[in-house]
Amino acid sequence: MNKDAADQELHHLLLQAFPAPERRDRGDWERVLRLANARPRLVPTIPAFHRKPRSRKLVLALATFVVVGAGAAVAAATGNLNGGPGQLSPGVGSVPVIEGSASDVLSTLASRLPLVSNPSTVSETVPPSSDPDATGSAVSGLAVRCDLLVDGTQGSAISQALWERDLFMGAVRDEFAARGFGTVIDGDATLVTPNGTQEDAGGGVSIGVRTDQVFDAIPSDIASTISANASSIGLSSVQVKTMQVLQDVLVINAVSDSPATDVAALQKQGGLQFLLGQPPMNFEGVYLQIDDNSGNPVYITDTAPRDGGGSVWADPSLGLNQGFLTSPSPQK
Amino acid sequence: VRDPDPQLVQIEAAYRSNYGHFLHVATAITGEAELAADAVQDAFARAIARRDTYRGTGSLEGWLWRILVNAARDVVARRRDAVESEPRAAAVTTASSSREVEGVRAAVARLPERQRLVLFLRYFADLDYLAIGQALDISPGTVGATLHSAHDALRRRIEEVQIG
Repeated sequence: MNKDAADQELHHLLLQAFPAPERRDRGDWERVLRLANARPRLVPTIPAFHRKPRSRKLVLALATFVVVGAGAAVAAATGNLNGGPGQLSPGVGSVPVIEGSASDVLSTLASRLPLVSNPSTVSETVPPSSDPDATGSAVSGLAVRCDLLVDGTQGSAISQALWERDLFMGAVRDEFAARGFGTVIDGDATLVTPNGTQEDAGGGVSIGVRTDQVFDAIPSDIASTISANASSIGLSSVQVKTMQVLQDVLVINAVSDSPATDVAALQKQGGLQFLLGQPPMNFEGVYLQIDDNSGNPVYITDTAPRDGGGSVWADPSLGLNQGFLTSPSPQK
Repeated sequence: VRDPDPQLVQIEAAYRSNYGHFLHVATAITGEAELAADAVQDAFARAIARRDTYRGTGSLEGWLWRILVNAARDVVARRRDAVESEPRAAAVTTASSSREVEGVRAAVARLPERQRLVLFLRYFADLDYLAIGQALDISPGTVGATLHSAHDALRRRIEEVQIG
């Protein structure tokens, strides 16, 4: 797809998601004039610094709810594009506590994620608008930083690292909120390869989801459920592991002899929800990687609902990529 | 009979000819058409009251868009204040929204604010990089880079909805 076509497709999708409001009138100019007359006329001789400073407010995401997980694994997410934080988890309450200082929380969480290292936080202020009439447009808080240890900087080589980034950012945000260590407003990760190459992996944290999400424990029979369901669509060599972040997350690996057929079957059946036998949002995170029988990753999908996230990567040979939504990117 | 204020005439012309674009972008920022309509009116009231501060160093259009964006952001901030002081249950997503559309919204909502604003101004207002840069107080080069980053981010975040 050429650039113009991709641009048009993006335009089309955005218009679908944010349609132009239907209004019969063309705006009420008379009301604008009345409002204007009610305002003091500002002339250049009035210096901006005479204005009383106003409190700075958080203005980041409008809000979010996220549909994550492959296939038809539609999150039972509630959320609100108009500002209310969404809930992706089955419950809310007290998140698990990591003892110690803020630094201890960072190092503990990083130690639980094998590809995350060198965590830190810095104070960050999003500069206020230069418009003297603007209010509440700046924000101060903490930005979380970390390195991601990867073998490459594109495609499947970074998928698990980006998942761990999302898990890490979400967990830090929620734990800091619970412990009163500060409001995390941003995140930034750096891909670091064995030869020392560094590349920005993007970041950001979702403020569109609640910070008190509580997820289910991993059921003891989840491995047998996943194996059975995976086998039914042709996947083999299924491995299921758990890993603790704030709560436990699932890491699933499987092999396919016929990737295009098997992945299509997985998507048709409902993706992660089919494999798990329940919505992936029940858990703090799920990572699924399907390799071909030569050991090459062909399909990866993950969820990280504390950060409101989830993604899919598919090898182009599967023919699943469509339109402008094709190339995996480290950027959030 | 007084001579018409030329700046006021220009502002009114911009309002009348581009009202739909202003309202669309404001709706995308605020999330509600009614709030957006208020933001557009407030923005133009600001523009009228402050028209003497427009120095003509950039286009009037860019100057107006800058005021509009800030007015819409103020609406969001004020609403957030209200939400913070009076917690409410999270609203349920609209049943009529398709999974794909919700996915796109979610992906856009997760973008950094600057990327979101650049997308809205590029695709809903059809502004060029120069005007977007003036509206957001960034260089045209930064506009291009920001738009590129937004595209990349959306690719990754919406991909699952497309192929799911």
